Amino acid sequence: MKKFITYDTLRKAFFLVALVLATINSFFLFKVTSKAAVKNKFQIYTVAGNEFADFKNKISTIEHVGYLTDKDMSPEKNNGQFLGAQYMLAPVILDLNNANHRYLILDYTNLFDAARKLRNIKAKVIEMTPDLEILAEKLP
Amino acid sequence: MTISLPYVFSILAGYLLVETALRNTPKVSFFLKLFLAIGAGLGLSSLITFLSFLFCNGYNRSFIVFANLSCIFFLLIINSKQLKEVLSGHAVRFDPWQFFYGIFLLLLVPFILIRANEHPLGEWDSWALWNMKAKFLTLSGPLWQSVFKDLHWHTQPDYPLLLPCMNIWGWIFTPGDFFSAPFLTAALFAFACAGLLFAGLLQFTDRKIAFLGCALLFALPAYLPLATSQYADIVLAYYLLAGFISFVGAVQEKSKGFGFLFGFFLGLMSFTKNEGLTMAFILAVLCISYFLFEKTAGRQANSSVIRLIFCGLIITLPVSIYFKLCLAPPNHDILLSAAPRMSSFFNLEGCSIIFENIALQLSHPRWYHLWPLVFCGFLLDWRRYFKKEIRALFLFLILYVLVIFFIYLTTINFSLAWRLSRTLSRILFYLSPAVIFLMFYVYASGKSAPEKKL
Repeated sequence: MKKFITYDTLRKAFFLVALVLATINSFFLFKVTSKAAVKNKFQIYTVAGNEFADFKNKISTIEHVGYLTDKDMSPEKNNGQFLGAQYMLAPVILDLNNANHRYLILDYTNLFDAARKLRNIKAKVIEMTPDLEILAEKLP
Repeated sequence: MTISLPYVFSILAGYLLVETALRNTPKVSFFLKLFLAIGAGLGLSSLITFLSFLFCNGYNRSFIVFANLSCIFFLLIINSKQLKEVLSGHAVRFDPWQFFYGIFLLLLVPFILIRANEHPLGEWDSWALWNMKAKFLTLSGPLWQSVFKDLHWHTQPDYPLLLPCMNIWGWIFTPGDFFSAPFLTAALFAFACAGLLFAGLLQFTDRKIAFLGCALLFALPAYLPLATSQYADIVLAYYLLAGFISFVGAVQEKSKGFGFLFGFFLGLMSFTKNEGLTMAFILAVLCISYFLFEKTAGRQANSSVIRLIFCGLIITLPVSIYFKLCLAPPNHDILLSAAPRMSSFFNLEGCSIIFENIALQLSHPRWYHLWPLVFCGFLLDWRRYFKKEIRALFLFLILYVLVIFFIYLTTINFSLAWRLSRTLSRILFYLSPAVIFLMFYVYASGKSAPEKKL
């Protein structure tokens, strides 16, 4: 028994285990990739921040735009809307929750709160998307 | 086709650079040179692109193209004699095994493209950070430095710009298309990393181990999704692996050329992510110390290698240093400026959360028993991990893990558990190619006389 478990035997066993793992993984890789190849044909992909695409032409020459929201913007719980908007509207710089800009984007959970905010900061709506994101301009 | 043109130029520049470096190192396989060339060339193009932003104070397409083509022209002049030999057929030897290796590697490509097409626009960090920065830099004109000052800290303005500049170079001939270049960059690095592991193991171990190592990495459930997500992690994984292979090459082949490439890749690694800077520092100290104190090769030989390491570092590292000192703001995620005690996780509870998450991650199905296999490999040959050049690489892994541990303990602005759940898998991902290489390299050194087939 002692002679059976030699260093060379352990090396061969290690190689065999690695080979088995690689073989099983390769089988699953082939299976998953085949499914993905079929699924990809029917998948529709949306660019991040696509809901803000309509604002691009209106603010393309503006350097800073305020982005006002009542949503949770913590790193753990935010829904990516702000960063998606930043990607879509780059190189416009979005200033999170700072109303001291002429142009503002409002991304609120409901229209009532958005409307109340607009009244408070004395801004008018320029454009609103189907997803209820608002582009507003402060009145002089 | 136009979208692939920058990549062709970069790979050509990279190959010429690698050829120049390894001119006096015989018996280096074509595949190793090719896969080293991919990262070297793209890294070089990225650095040239970044430097063009500094010289031209913004995106200047003509200058970027001119600078890259000038670099290729310069490298062609240096390699003119070797090129004449290749074109006349003198330097080419046909080996049937090379053909077989080529077929094996080409078989990986459809898998990469199909899995990359599952998320052709990348994942969260790709559009929130890397691709956003690339788009911002391209479109912002002379206000390009706002990417460091005015963007919200969620976009990590302190992160280095190797990947964004690579993507900017990638879309240089297709203005307005901000999607194809990041897709291609990720797919190319996914291919290059697996290919580099194969070629590195082929060079320094044997054929069977090379196939096994490559298959083990490539078929990991975690590999393709993370590699093609358009994050900088695959780039970091590649440069770390290239650093390991170049260091082993410098030792095994007693090659100054590999020493130069080692320094070159460390500099590129430092400009990839903040973690890359830490890795480059630890790896440089350990590997240069190895050459300083190692006696078998001779003092003069080791001094030459150290000199060439610094030559490689001088080309790539200054960009990182300039970026960190003059452009990038401080990092918001960790507490280094004040006492670590001020982090709410710098205590036993923080350690416990970290260990718990590490255990969960190591046993996750996405790794499919890779880490228990690595542990078994370590137990099988544990003495060898503390000998010769392997000691430097093993110590690097230990020290880096300790640094990561400390960074997690000094977490601020995030929940530690959330941060671990988001980042630990990616840390394991970018370490895995280098760990697999080291594991099989040590395994092969256990044989009395490893059979080298190229």
